[in-house]
Amino acid sequence: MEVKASNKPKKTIAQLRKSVERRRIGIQAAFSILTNSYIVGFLKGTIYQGKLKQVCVPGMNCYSCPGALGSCPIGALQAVFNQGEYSKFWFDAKTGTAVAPPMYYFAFYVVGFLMMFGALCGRLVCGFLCPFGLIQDLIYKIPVPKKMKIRTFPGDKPLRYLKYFFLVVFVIILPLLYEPNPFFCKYICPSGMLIGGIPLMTYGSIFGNLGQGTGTGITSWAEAGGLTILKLSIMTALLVGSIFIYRPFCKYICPLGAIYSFFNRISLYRYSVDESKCTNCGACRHACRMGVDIVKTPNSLECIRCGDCKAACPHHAICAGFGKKKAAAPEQENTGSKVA
Amino acid sequence: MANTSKPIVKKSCPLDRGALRYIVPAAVFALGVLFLIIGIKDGEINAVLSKAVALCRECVGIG
Repeated sequence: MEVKASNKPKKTIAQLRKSVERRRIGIQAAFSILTNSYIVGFLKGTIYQGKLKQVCVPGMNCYSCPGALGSCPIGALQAVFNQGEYSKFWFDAKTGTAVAPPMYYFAFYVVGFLMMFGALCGRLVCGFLCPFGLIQDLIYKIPVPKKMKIRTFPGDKPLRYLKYFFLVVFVIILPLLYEPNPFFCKYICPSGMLIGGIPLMTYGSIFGNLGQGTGTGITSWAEAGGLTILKLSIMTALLVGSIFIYRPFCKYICPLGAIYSFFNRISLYRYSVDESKCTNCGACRHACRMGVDIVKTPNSLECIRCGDCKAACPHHAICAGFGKKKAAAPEQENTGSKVA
Repeated sequence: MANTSKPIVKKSCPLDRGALRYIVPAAVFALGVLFLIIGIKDGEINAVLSKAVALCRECVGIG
């Protein structure tokens, strides 16, 4: 292919991938700071209690984090599923008729919110807007010998279905069957422990129970019990695992990622591969840390839309966007560059 | 990286073609807006708020 000479310094594929990664992490960090910018919470050991908390944030962001300005959609979903005293949309789970308890509520508000984001972006949210995804991304950058970074292992593929199990059982069925009890948040979610529990208990230990009058009442780590140990263990395992495996929480556990994954195939933001340019060289497959073969399944349920495959493609065959875009013509000659 | 001789096997998705490419996400988005409005009108937003403003001790690992 003939390439016009340009005065711009030529970027190698490795440089291009780095700049795409930097931009993505910058967006993630900016969004995480924006949605967790209630500084008073961190200073006084309390949580934000204003009206903004009516609005869900698109990513996994515990609403009990001292800085959180919005609500976690997974927490809200569990909370609403079995709350009905305010609702006229009751229905009996067994007969489907609108009568006396036990009655369940379909979480229109939260589901509607997730459908809107899903229809627009799919799992782009996971790649660009999720604070817990950002934490895992940063931890994965910890340098260890290359052979210790695990791309795949026996049982990796079946384990990917685990997040759907957590979604169905812990987020939907158990909160519906039992009293309003956020089963996923209570027994699994590492986000609540990391950005809620640890800061609040540490604050209580250092400064005393100053937050009591403002809603938290957490005194110290002395309040930690069996649940704390369970959640700390899950969190530690996931964070340590993130050094070696790219985003283990997103791959195997996250129910929010499971919800957004259903939208990947229909969302407005879509990936496509220009078959006339693709030589099936495998550079994209090699670059993808989520284990997606973008050539075979451009809109795979596992794709978090990080854009690494697009940057890694030496033939500019991968395009992504909201409209029907053609892959950009190469601005610089990349062939011959090191791909991985 | 050397090219492999394997043929490209791309799963074709009917949703990638023509007007469906836009109609389907638009319809899902519209349904989402409708659900959102129903939820707001029904007061669900208050349930979300009441849960979110009170510290969920179990969620942060104390329970």
